[in-house]
Amino acid sequence: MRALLIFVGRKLAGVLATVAVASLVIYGALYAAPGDAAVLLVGGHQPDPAALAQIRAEYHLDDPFLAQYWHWVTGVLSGNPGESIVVGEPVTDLIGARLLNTVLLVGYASVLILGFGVTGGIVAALGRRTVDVAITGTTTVLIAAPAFVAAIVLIWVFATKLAWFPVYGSGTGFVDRIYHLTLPAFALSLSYLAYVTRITRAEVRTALAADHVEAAAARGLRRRSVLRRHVLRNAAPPVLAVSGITVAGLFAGTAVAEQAFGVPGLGSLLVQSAARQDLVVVQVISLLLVAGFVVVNMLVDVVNALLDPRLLRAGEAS
Amino acid sequence: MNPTRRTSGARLRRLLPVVTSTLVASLVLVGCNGGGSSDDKAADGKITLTETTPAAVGDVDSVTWALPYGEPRSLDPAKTGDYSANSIVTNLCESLLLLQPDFSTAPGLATAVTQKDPTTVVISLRDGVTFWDGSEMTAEDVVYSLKRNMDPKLASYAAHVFFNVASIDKTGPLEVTVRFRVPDVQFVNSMAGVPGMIVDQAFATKAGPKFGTPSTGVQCTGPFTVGSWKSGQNITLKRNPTYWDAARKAKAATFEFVFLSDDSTLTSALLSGEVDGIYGVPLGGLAALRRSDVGTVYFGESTETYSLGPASDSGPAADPRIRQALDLAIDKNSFASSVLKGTGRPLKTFTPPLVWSGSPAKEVYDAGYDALLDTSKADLEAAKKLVAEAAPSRKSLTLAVPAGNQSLLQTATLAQAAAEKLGLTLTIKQLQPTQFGTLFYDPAARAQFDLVATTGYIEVPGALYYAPGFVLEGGLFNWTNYSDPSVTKNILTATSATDPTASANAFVAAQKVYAPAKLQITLAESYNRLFLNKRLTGAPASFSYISSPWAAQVGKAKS
Repeated sequence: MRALLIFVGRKLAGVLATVAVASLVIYGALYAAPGDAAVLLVGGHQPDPAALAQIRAEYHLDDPFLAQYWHWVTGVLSGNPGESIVVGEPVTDLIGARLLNTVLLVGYASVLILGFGVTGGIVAALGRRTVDVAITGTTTVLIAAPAFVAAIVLIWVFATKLAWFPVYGSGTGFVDRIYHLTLPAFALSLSYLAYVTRITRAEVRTALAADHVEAAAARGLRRRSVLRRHVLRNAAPPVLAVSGITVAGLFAGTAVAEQAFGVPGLGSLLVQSAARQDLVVVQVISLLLVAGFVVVNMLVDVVNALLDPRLLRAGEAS
Repeated sequence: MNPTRRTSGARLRRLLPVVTSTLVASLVLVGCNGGGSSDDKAADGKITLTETTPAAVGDVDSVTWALPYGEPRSLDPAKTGDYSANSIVTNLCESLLLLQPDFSTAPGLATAVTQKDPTTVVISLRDGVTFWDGSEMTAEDVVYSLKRNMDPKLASYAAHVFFNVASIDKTGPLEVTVRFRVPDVQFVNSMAGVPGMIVDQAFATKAGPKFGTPSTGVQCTGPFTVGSWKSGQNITLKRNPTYWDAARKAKAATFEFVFLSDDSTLTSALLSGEVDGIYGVPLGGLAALRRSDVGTVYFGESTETYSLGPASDSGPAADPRIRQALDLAIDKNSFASSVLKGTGRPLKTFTPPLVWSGSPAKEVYDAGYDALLDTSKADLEAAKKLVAEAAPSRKSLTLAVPAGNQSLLQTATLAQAAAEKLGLTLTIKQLQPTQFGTLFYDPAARAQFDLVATTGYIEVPGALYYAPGFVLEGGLFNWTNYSDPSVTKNILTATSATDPTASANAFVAAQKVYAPAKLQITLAESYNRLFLNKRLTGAPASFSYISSPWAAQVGKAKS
């Protein structure tokens, strides 16, 4: 137990350090971006110098970098990251209105990836050759299909031709939301799903070929028991690790799917804000996406450690 | 409408607003393409231009409309200056004059806006108009709304329209008088657009900086009221049941705007009927939509243009001969068919004919335009001769393009190929919106570029929209320091003549001199492209939607 707490503590410290560094990098990158954000704010074709100065002061655009950064970080930490430069609404409001959609979309896609990916991989590894070939062939195609291509095909087939699902939007209420998010979730998850299938298949194959599995089979243990206790258990940690990174990476991938399906989420807000050079919003969303990635990764590590306590000790030793 | 008739041209002048939009988000630049066919179903059929779609025969419950340029940033008229915001705000807040599909004007909130003398405009207000909350629209509201645009702190997108204004005063219970430091007959025309929109003073003052935001909204007199604005999702308008003009009351009980910027999703949403209509049909989906029997693609006259402009007063592009050579080297017909997919046509100068097509002096303008040299067909020999004559000390040019704008990038590539044929090297540089926007007011930022590729549009009538900015000394877009005494004299005469024909004659005389100097290498007009689901009709097909309460006209089609 103590080992687990230390393990979690170390991971948490890692998360905090990563997010802190990321915040500096994100802020620095946008600070260094060319152009004058104040120009966008004042509008008009000949900005008034006084109006420009006022906006610069309001958004601290003229302060030294570290002062600006510090101002921003303290704002974010106190739960008030400021107002959108472009829309004039609090960033927390803009994000709040979209957070649920993105979380649902990532959750939905994760279920698809883990469910279909792991099952598909196991079936391919254990099944007949024809099944294996079919699954391997399908995943080859899917791995190569980026989300925006998948989106176009899915919309064409399932929304325009068959009219089973809506083309765009996020719906209202839980069931309607899930219904609206089905195509985006598939578009988002297909290539990841194929990847996880491949990894799972390979790991299960490796585990099957291990000496102790052959020995267990030779000793006359039931196949099902061998599979569960030796093969799958040994294949689980690497599959879990890969799945974890994949799922964590979904946060970054949502931009494409949300944009393609007109889903108001963090990803589409990020794209929109970046296009408008709404720095305040871009900074906060970027940070949130990084934090989402790191936190999910940490959770995967913890689950992995619970499954395989050796990892805890390894962590202690290093 | 005869497809060969040219739109009257106020194009160049419109560059000002274009710039505005550019600054705002480069949204305008990012994608205005005109459309080009009427309701014929054959995708390869000839494009017919239509002024407006057949009038609606009845009311409908709801309409879903897509905004391809995304969510507007505000509903405040002072912050309205691009496709998305204009598409919505024109249906909420009304202008003093009403823009018609042929770009003529009719009385709006004012029964008349009269140019009494070169420096005085008298606005006579309509009696009995009420805001949505029931309060009466007064002369005070009008003075407040117009003056708002002059507040540097507010930084209204329409501020340039009020540059020459000296005072705005209430001169009667229903009368407001505007006085000018410098004559400016274009001002009256601008009152048919966003600059002439009237908002409720009490509401706007109370809302302060929150005016126009998703949580606060606006208070105006239009045929629709703000129903809801779900950030990132949609903006829903509701019919104003107490609208003052029974004849132009909204046909749809609710009008929902959704933000779909992905072209293929947009096309699918239109084909599936989930979205009923759109202005600015994506060129990629045009063929599929024209073939489909879900609805109809209409094409109309527009003031939207594509052009390359010189960015500085030194370097090769500052020499009119080099600009003329580039103009001659680019085949405008192939530009229209390749970049615009046939939904546009070559233009001779920066002011597109649609802007004067509603003018009483239309014939004068048309004759002036017709007399301009037609350079739509490439003439490489003549172009090479001009380059040899100019003998530029530097043969490499840099062209600035707003990043992410595919059609402008294609335009730039065409220009690059044309320049190469003349022995010039054209380097294309894509700039981010903030950087690109800076070009329009910072000479230092422009100094590193020779040319700028832009699209632009003019949202109000009037031939004098662009020209003064391009040809007068110190003009906002006079980046080459162009100066010609006869042009200056004629443009000043045109901007101060209260008689439309006298103004037109002076304008035409000036245009005859400055047009050959190619202060903009104007490539083409892109037609307005409208798609309507077959259950609906009534929307204007011309570009006039950009400044008129068009959504109120959309209703049930004859089945």
